[in-house]
Amino acid sequence: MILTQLLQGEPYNLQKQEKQPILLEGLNELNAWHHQNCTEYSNLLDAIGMEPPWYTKSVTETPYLTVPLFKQLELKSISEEDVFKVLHSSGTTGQTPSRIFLDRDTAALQSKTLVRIMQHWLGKPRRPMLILDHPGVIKDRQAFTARGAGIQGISFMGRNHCYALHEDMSLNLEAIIKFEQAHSHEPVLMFGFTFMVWVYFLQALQKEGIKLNFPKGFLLHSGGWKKLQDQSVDNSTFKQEAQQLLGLNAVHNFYGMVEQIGSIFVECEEGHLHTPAYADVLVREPGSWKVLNTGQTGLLQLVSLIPKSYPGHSLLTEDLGKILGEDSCPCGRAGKYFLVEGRMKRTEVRGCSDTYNVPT
Amino acid sequence: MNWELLNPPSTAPQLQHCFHPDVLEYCQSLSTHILRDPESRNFPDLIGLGAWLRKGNIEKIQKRYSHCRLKPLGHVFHSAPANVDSLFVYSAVISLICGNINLIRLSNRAGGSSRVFIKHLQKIGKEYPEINARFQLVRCEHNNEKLNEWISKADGRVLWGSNEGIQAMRAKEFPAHGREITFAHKFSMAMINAETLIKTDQEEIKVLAKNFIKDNLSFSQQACSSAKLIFWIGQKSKIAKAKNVFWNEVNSNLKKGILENEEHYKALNFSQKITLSENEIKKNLKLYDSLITLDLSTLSSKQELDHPGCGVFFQIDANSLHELTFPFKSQHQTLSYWGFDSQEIKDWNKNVLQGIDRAVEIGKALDFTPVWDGVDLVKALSRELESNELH
Repeated sequence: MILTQLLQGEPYNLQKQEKQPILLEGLNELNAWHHQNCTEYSNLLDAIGMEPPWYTKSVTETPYLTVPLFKQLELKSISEEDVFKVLHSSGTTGQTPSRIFLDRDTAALQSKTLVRIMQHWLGKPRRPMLILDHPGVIKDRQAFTARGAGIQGISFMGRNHCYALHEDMSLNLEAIIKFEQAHSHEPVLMFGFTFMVWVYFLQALQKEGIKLNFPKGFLLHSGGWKKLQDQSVDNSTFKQEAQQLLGLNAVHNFYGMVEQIGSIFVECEEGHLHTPAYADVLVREPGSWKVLNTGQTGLLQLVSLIPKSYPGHSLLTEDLGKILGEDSCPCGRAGKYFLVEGRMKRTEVRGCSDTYNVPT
Repeated sequence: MNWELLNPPSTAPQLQHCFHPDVLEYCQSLSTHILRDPESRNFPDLIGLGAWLRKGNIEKIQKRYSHCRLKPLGHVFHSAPANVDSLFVYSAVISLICGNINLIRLSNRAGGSSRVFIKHLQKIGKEYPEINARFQLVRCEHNNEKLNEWISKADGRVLWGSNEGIQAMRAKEFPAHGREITFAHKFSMAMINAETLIKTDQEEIKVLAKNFIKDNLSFSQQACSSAKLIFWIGQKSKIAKAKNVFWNEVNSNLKKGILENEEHYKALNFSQKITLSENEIKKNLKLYDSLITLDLSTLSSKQELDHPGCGVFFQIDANSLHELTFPFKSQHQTLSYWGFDSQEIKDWNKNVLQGIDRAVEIGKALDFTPVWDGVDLVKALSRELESNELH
């Protein structure tokens, strides 16, 4: 009910006083729903002493699941027959990917939120779209990963799709030039994964000495910064390079994870990630798991009203970040705005067992 | 990775008598170097090792074997896991004391305390060329040919590590007469008398809490003798009260940063995973400031093997010591206890026919003794002459 209303409105119009009660009500309903429909989830609520009707008094008290659980277990709140689509995370090689089970309704909600959020940034008409990847990434159904799914999801927002790279990740200059000739002065959409965009598109263009011209272009990119940090490339370097090489102004990162549909946090003109009306972010101190204040760095907890077919409405991520403010971003959008500061540091193995790599 | 000797010998290694005075001096010198180094302060395992290597302590061990006539075993190979904190140095030093010629393969992932330990080993090696020659540390791939060759002619091998790691090392050729000692996967527990605890004053509980932290959180619960499971003994209502008092005290004595962020996260993820799966068991999950407790009625072998350390404590309650029905197995190594008479524990342990090789008071779980994992290391790493030869 709440959701239908929310989805009719603008994604960044809800002020704190309005948003928090709506969010709380929605999350409470989801707690109860998942308790009734997902045995594993009910085990957790029982073990932490929650009782019917499984409501909490504030969003901060909503129980949260750690993200790797979706790799370790099959968590769903729907029957096997109702599974309409399974999303997989990319994951590191050798690891089981997360499996996210969607039924028709939840999948429809997911598309709807994505469209609502993206339309805010891109406008309603579909834009000619340059995909900063190679076409094989969505062709191979077997290896249909988060990368493929992400591209397919965002492709909804575009038309006249054109892939900028060959299968071997080299520039498809012919296609790029053709796309530029046809759409240079239209509002175009470019999308790719941050690291790939940097290495295989921007760096490659620079090497070739090519500058493109898309004055009304919008570059949207997502994915971790880890590999780029290793090359000392930060967001502002990335932005500058992109603006120069592509002849455009709008470069926007977004943060999100396959494990929580509906949580798409797009970076505004000020460089801040924004929470839409259907989702929110909290920051917790590792260990005590207490909610931290604005400006304090901790682990990001994401909540979203969209996950109904699986218990992913409240997740504690492995990403560090901090909240910058709420309803007060100079860009004018309402809602919390925040920064992601990267993954937790990996720790050294200690102790006397499991420290040996079995030769293969 | 090639064959890299970390403290290369300057003379050919030769066997020596057990408890040779030179070795005692060598140990003392190593101890002094380690304890004087300000860098050691960052590694509690090195401080413990430094204290153990003192001449006085080694002499105490010697005294225990004064009635035995021992000869060295010969060439002994040691496979060490990642860190010095893992006790492998102790078994290697005992082997050195027994007069053996030792080769120790360090893990490729050996951490900070290993680096400091090696630094001192290199320093004193020049002063003690003979001993240095029979205490050789090496870094190499595990399938290195020289390594395989050495092991194929050894008289003993001491393998520390995970079950899989040990099996892999075992596959190597080894003489028929060779003696093998393994320190595989271990799981340790603590036992607290709830009835005693609730009658105890705050000061004493504080001492208990500090000892508990030392035992179990010095190495983020990953030393093999650190407890991952706690048995609470007493009436139900008293246990509930005792747990509350105990964990609050432990928490208020914990130093911030004793566990790293990722370890906290791992702990939370693991305890959630256990709570979510296997629904037939009623569980109780509690998050404290840095620690997590999870009440169970029984422990599955999967839960035992998957336990990541990092501050997760399983808890099992029992009305009395004799009503504790837990299927102890050989991998259940140390029981550290509090609130019991040592005789009471001894009597009880007598009837635990497998498992619990050590029962020590809480606070002493990490103390190394030459009888470890049910093995008398001095005797295992030497050859004992028949006693009738004495007459």
